[in-house]
Amino acid sequence: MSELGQQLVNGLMIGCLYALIAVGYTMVYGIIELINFAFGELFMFGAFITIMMMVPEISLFGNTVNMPHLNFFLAIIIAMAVVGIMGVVIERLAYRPLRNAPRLAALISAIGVSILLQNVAQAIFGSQQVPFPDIPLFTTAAGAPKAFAIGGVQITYFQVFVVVVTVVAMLLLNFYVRRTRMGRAMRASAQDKRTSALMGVNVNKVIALTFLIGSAMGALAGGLYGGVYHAAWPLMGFNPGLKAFIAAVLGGIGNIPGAFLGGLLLGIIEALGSAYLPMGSQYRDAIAFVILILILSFRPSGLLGSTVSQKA
Amino acid sequence: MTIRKKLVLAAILVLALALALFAVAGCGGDSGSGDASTGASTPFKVGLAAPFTGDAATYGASHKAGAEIAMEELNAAGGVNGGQVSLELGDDLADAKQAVLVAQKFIDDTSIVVINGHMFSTPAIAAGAKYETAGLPMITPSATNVDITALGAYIWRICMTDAFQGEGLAKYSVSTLGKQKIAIMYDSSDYGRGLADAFESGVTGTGGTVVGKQQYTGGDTDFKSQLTKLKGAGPDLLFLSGYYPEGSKIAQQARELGMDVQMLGSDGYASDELPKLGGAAVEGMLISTFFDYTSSDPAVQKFVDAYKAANDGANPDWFAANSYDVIMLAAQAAKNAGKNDRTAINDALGTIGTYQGISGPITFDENGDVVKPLTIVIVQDGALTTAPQQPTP
Repeated sequence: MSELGQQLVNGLMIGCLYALIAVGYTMVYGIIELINFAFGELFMFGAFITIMMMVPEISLFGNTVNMPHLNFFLAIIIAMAVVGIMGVVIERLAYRPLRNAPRLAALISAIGVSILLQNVAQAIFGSQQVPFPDIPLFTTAAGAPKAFAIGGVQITYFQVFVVVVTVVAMLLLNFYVRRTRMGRAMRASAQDKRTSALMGVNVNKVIALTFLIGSAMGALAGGLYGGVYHAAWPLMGFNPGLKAFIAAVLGGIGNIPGAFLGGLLLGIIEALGSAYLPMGSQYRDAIAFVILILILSFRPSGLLGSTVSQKA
Repeated sequence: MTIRKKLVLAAILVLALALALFAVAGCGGDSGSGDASTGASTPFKVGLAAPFTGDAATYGASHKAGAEIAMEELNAAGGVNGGQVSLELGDDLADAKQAVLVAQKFIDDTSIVVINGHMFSTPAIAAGAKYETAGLPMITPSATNVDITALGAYIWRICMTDAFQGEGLAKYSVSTLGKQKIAIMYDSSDYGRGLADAFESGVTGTGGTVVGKQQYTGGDTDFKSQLTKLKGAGPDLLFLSGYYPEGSKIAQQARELGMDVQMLGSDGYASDELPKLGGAAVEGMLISTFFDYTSSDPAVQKFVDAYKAANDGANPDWFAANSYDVIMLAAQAAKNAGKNDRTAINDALGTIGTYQGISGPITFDENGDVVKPLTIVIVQDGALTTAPQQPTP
């Protein structure tokens, strides 16, 4: 019993991280119907910038550079801001010029940006893994993670922190999109850009804002992921990026609570599958892709997505 | 377009992207240094096959750095048989498909006389079959799977096999450390699996019990599902068969799950990067290694000094040491043969007797394998040092 409980906690943890990246996918898809493959890389930059802000010095382009040595919370907020702006710049340079081009062009541009960012990161940070500094609030003086146990299930303080941050971020974001003027403009632009523009909505501004928020969420996920796995590396975004895409599809792409639910479900299914299926740990990634195929075959609009076919 | 069509399109693109990533990273680079030889003597050109980009790039970097020290040392002494030593890089990404492409490139370049590589078992097996057919001698510095040297007479290895290491480590765990309930966590590659299997049968053979055995895939980041299962079995030793980037995370996640158990890492863990990445979680971990850079042997210290001078003061790991040994050994064979020629070098390797390398004495058996002593190091205050308890021979 305690083993099953532990496996659920393990899955919940991965699920929260998937959920945070999935929100970025889902928001951008909702508004311009583009799968922004570069999200995995924005996530990776989120982790690296968080580390950069936390350490006293770091090696960039092979040279040692002094760094601000901030605390984790400040560092991750700076990372969110920087990566948010990166997202806006990417949208301006790589996607906006292609907005009226065939959809495939924008997708290919997104893949290009993704590979470019991976290579830039390798050039800046090197190909080795960079350790994530211990966060004093969540680490004992001896360097061990602070943790408690309930009925044999071991939970670290940092895990609790990640879950709380994920839930709060989702609630805030959902509130923003559902209940504010700007959120209404977003939803309107998602439905019909031309009519929204006629109603006085600055569509370019709305799309830029969507990229800003989505990318910042990716950076938040990256910073937390780095903390959970104690490292950052240039290719770290690839796999979580794919998983988050699956999570977004699972929940109903374009739907924020759906992305949250999809992420959690995917994390838990993966953890339980790899623990209890025969040879499951070998097929961990395959489990996620099987889910993708099943969802596309039987419920392409996802668990929480509307079943109405979109405009042509 | 309906949502369904768009999503199917997107899903296809996701898969295409996954494939593209492998393809893009697959372009090798040339960094052959050393000028074309002067005069009539044939140059001594070495094919350096290792992952220079991608997830395993750090091993390739060690491999190249060790080889460069050997190249400079040989060239400073007038080259090999009067020919300049140069290195030709082939990036195999630690991947079997890519390794075959690299092998073909090296085989077609007739100026290459010997291969230093491949570093990992899966690519070494794939590429080794090609070298064997082409008659190009390949000396692997670090691939440990038993099957590699069975490929034929042109395939050599200067590190010990998984079978030998696994058996030695099992004896060390049960007899020397006195551990009885042993859990195994292994990388599902040829190396990780082969070593774990040899270790398991060794433990059973020496009277210990394997209470749990779990596998993971290289590049994974989350190991909690497997560790949770192993924790339930209550082991007193956890043997880790794989590489340090995953290993540091395994150690950290074991602690987060409240597992307090002695860990023993395979030779893939023997890197200064392990304590950097693993921090407090890897303190006290025992690790099997093939090269101890703290050794007082003057040949070792000469190499360590040259390596540090060329690499910003970093200590060489065993991958660098073995890569150096491979080139020095091949050079010795070429000198014995009197010419820089593929077949002549291969024949001379067979009759080289005992070559004293910095990683220990190298004597080939009839398979082209070596038997060397096993050394155990321990992580202490963030560095690897010789462990107090060493295996009894």
